[in-house]
Amino acid sequence: MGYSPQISADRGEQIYQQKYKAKLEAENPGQYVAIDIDTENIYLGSTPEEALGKAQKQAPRGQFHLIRIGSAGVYRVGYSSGGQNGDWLFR
Amino acid sequence: MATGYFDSNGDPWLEIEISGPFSNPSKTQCLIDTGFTGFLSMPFLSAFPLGLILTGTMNIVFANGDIQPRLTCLGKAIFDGQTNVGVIVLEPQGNQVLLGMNFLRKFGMRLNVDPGESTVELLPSPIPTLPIQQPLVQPNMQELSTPPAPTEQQH
Repeated sequence: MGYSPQISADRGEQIYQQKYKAKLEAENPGQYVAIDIDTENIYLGSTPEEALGKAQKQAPRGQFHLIRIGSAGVYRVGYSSGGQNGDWLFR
Repeated sequence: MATGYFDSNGDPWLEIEISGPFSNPSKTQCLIDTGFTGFLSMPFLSAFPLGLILTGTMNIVFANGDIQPRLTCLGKAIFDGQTNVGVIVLEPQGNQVLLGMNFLRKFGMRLNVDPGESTVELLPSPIPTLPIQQPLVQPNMQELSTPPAPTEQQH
């Protein structure tokens, strides 16, 4: 099954909002969570690499949406998006 | 100490090696971008020849406040004799590989950029240490753990 980045990210955000946000933002602010968008399992880490590493170990073929708990995005960039959402199909 | 260089536009660059889990390292020129909080960012089409494997997505916050998803992969970066694995953000277009603050953090480097001298240096970041103060007289731990004897109250 293939997902575009937008669909994958939307699905990850939806799972996070509905199942995990309240608990994780109270207990693990600033940490990183990788959400398996198929199984809805989550993997926590103090770095993005740790969270993704745990996720890949458990589900090597999984697709994960990464979130920094309590932040709008995982990273910031110093340039503007230019209105392009960078959406395309993968897998 | 590792050194980079300035291009004709005055932008600082550094050469590193990048590889995927099963590919050989490939020399890559990276633009040093201290406004980018991540590890590395590169155009999507550059990731295929390097053998990088997609892991999924993450949201990125842009300078104009937009929040947009980007594809991600885990990649290995080799620099100055060290190897570190980090999350690489894939951009749908562009032609530059950006090296961000998390790269410097992971490699324990501080950046010394001098546009006047046209030098770009990466130096080991000193680990801040607090001075350890030893007490002049070692306390007797048994005394400290023994509760004080009750004093008689006088009326």
